[in-house]
Amino acid sequence: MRLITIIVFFIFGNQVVAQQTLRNYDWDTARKLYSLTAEEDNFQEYVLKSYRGYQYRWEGDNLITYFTDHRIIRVKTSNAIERHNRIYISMRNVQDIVLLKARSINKAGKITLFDQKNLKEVKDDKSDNTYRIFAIEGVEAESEIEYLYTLKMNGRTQESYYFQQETPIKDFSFLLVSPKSLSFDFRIYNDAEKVKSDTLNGQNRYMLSLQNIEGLHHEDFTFVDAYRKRMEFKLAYNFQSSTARLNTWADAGRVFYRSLTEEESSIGKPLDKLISTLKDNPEADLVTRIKNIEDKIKTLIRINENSSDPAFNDPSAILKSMQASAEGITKILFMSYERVGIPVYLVVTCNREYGKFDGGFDTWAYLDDYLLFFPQTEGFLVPDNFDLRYPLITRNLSGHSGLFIEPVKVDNLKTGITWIKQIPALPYTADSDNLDIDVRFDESLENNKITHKRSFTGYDAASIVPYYQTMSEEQRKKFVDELFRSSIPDLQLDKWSVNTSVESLMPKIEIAANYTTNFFVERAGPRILFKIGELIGPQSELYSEQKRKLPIENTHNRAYERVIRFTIPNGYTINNLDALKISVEYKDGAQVPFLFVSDYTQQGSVVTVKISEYYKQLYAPLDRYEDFRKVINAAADFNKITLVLMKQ
Amino acid sequence: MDCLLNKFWCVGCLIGLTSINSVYAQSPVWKEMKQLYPDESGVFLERDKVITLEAKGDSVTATAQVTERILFLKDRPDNATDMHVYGSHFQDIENIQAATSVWDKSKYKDIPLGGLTRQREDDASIFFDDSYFYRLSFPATHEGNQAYWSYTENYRDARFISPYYFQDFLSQRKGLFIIRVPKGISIKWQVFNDPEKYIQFRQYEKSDFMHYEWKVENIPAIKNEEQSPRYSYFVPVVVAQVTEVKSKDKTVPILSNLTDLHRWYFKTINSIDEEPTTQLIEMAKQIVAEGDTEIEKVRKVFYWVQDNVRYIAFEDGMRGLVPHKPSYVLEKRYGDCKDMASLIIGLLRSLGIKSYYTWIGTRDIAYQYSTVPSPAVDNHMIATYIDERNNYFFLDGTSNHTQLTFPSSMIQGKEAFIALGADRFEVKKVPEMPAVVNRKVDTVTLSIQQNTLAGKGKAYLTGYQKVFASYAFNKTVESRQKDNVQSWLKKGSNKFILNNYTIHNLAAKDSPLILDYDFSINDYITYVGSEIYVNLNLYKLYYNQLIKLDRKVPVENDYRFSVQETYELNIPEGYEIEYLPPNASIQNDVLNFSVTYRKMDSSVLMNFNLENNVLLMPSTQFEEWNKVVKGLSQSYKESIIFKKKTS
Repeated sequence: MRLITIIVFFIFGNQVVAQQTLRNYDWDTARKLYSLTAEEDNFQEYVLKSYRGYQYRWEGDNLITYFTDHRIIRVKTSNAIERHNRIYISMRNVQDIVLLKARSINKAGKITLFDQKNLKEVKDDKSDNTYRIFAIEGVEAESEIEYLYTLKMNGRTQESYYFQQETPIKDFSFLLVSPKSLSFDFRIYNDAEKVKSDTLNGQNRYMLSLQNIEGLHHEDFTFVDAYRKRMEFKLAYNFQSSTARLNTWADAGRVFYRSLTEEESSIGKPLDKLISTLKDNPEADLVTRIKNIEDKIKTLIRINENSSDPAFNDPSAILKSMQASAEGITKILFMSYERVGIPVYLVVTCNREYGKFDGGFDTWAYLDDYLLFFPQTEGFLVPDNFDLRYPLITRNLSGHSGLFIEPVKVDNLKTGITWIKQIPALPYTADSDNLDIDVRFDESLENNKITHKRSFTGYDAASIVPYYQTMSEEQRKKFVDELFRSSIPDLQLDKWSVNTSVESLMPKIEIAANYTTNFFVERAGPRILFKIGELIGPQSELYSEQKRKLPIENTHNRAYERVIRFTIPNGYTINNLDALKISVEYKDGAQVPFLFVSDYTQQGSVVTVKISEYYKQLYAPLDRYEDFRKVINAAADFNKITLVLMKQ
Repeated sequence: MDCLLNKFWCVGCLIGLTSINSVYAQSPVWKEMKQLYPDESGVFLERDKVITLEAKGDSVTATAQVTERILFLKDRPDNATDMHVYGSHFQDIENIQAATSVWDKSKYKDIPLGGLTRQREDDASIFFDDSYFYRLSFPATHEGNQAYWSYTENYRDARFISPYYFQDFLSQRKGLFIIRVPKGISIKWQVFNDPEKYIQFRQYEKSDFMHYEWKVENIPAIKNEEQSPRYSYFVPVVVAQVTEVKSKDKTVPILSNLTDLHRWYFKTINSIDEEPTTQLIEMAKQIVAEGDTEIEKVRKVFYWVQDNVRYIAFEDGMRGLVPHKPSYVLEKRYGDCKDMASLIIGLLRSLGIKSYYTWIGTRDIAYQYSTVPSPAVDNHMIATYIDERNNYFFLDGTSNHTQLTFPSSMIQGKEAFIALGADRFEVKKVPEMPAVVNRKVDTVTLSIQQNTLAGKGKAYLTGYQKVFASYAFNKTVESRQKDNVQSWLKKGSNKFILNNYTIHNLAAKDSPLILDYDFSINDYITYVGSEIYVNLNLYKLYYNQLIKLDRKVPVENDYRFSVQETYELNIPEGYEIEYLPPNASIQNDVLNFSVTYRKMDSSVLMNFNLENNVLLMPSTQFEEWNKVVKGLSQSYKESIIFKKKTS
């Protein structure tokens, strides 16, 4: 939510309503250690209590949030201690620490109170934020770590919070208290429970309480954070000033659009000067124009994500310094396309690794990422990534929806109207990693002479090509050598070449090498064992998980086309060629979204093996995990194929 | 006429447009450098550091002026040219300036860098750190442009002058390191890692300062290789130190020898000297048992600190040098290396046992105290205990799983600087542990079940093999521990699946770590006709891993180690042995292996031994290494054949 931090969200009314005084939340000074069940005791770390409280009140004309975090964690081992004995408190938007205390209670009941003298302040200029940090003192194995703090903060109008983490939680509770005129909306993800509300003493109360929340851990081919239990809430109404809903998507459209374009009047000239250097040809086709402007601007302007300097957000300053933040370069690109008359929308969304964009709940709390969308070509552009160029965008921004902001003119006033639309992932044909390998045995039958071509299209190519082009000849040779050496440690490179190009708008890099190796030849007495499967390089094996909890989610669609040709040496025969036939299809009705098929043909002594593998869709349900696993593992199965050469 | 002029104008215009990257539009310096370095992406035109020393009473401070300039010889993408400038409490950065100089027709124009702010190192191992860095993200890193930056370093104490390295990630046209020394101050210096004699030295007097000047010209970029030791082992470097300062009519020693270093260091530990407190005495009593011998007490105290004090580093001004008092560390139950040493010493003292604060460098640093008596040598602190038979025990509280008789692996071979008292110190070399004590013995019985090889094993790990495995296995989340055990035991292929396992002695530091486990490897067995092929080399360590002979940088390992694996494979029912691979063995100073196959009544017994004696292998030993790896790889290729019995 970077573009809009400067925007005032709503108008405050006259605050004369009596406020409930801040509840004096405190810990139990004389509490005993928790008694744990045998199962709970098995865990090396266990959150016994997690309480989050939000108290809203007017102080003068300002809305203030008193935010309280109270946790008790039982740590059984030194490892668990190290994961929980350091506390970081972010001071962003914080006016004051109202309360801070911490203690450890060891298993004998001895209490060590935290000495406030040891509270340290750390300033991070990169994020322009300060932190208070401290370490819990006196912690031993089987201690309980407890800390409690209350922060006085600028009124929080929207919040995101994950209440499921790696460590299981025994008792989670949430309480929000606000003046009656302020009404909040909640959305809970990955749990059926709802936030309950009532009024007490003339104030609104919102509550959630959950027991025994299990820990959620990393699993392959999914994004664990996106499936954690999470709460989003927003201030939805301020009845004192209006009955209109606050911070709707429509508001977002106006606000984002304004922040993108408000400086335009003042930078007309420098912008025109920039555009004149872009050599935009209005006669050229649209995609060429889009790509040309993107290439030029991304090469001219340096994206700097490591500074919070406001000048990097300011288009006039950027055009002088050629340095921009993510927000700044988005503005420059957007304005440039508008200026040359190419219709463009701004898209705001989030990284789906952390949760999917939800058009049904209008919070802006997680709208951290920008894209540009070109309605006439239906392609997207990611402004703040140097490597990725139209239509390649950051993998995890595609594959869910986003807020599309379309510029419109209403009574000579330009503004943005919004749409919730899908940001489709690129098709599997856009990203590939292909092999073409020709294998011969030398006369000793101990070595292979191999012609090996590998070509990357799409994401991998985008991350290699710009760097490849700066390399010296020696570095290029090392790059090629290392690419193959990772799977062929005794590689002796005879010849190599690299070719970069663009194919169907996608960057492509083809690497060809001729080398000699004994890596694929083994022996069993008189027999020669040809480890043909290893020619495709190491393939990941996805292990069977009885306890798999999360559905499948791919980062992007992709394809692998592999061809291996080899010549059976004179006087030898192979009786187990049929081992090369593998066919694993994941069927979904008439569709086959995931597939691995390998087969061979033989002409005289030349055998040609063809392998197709693709992943055409991002998502698959949990109950099809085993089927998905079989496709992933088929490549690892192929990896293990050994052909046996026998003397005729 | 007009027409002609227009034509000319147009032609000229076209040339102007198309030659942006051609020689015509480029700067003279680009032209010159492109000829010298036609293939490189950039070159340092200058890379200079000038240190000026200043006497302040009895001490010496220093200011360094650093100036660096890169010329781009190819367009470099964003991020590939970010530079970092580091500072800290002892070495503060001021006056930082940076710009891209953009070639514009006939001259360079500067685009200054904005947003230069101090950033914190995002280092999980250090909780609070007063060191910082500036990141310089240059715009317009196009061919022909230049990146330029300069800054001042203020040293609170000239003892902290760091070694100066003459190579960087790009080739250098010129590099200069100068120390300006006013009258009354003396320095000494040494050059390391310069067999090619890149560094030229001269000494001259100018404006009342003696100038010590080291210069390089046309020095190539650093070549990074896998398993390289740190730069201090192979990059040309000048290590300089201030030896003394004349103040009025006396000479004050600064760092001329180890006595000076000791005098200075001793102040830091003397300031925290305390009589054992009641809490320390009480705790020490709880840790040891009555009747324990002295060495037993040392062992128990050392292990208690390892187990009960968590590592949290606070780098905060002078705290970077001074430990906390033992009683403070005991109460907090956390600390850094110095604090752990302090608590070990404090607890032992309350039991009437002497042990000593000891400074040491980890193996990241190539220099030793005996050649460089300076803080540039160390980055770590431990406690040293010396028993009555003069055996030395180097007690590193930060190394959780290390047993009493082992130094931590990262200080092997390093000189320890032991403070025996106010006027006494000793430099003692920490032993390098031999391969035989860092051992893995893995005994496995195997059977063939269709395409699957199934097995049951028992592995013993000792020494550093145990230490490193213990770190990997000591995880809070069960699945993460299993992943790590699986990768530690991995055999055959990535279809190795660990079914069940039990770990013994994870907490018992003096006993071997024992793993009982069973596993299966799918698709490991090849059937063709009436034959079965099995390769019993289930752990192909260093398979075909030959070192290129043109490599110059040494190869580094964390520790020396040995492995013994025994596999007993039951002959499948109805089959007999058709072929057993030959035995093999090669021995030399760096690497040894042997493999034997034996036919038993109903099984095949394979025995594999390997010993890696490399801690730091110079290029002169690469051929020996390769010789063994070739033989080893040849033997890895051998499979057994079983053939169906003919009835």
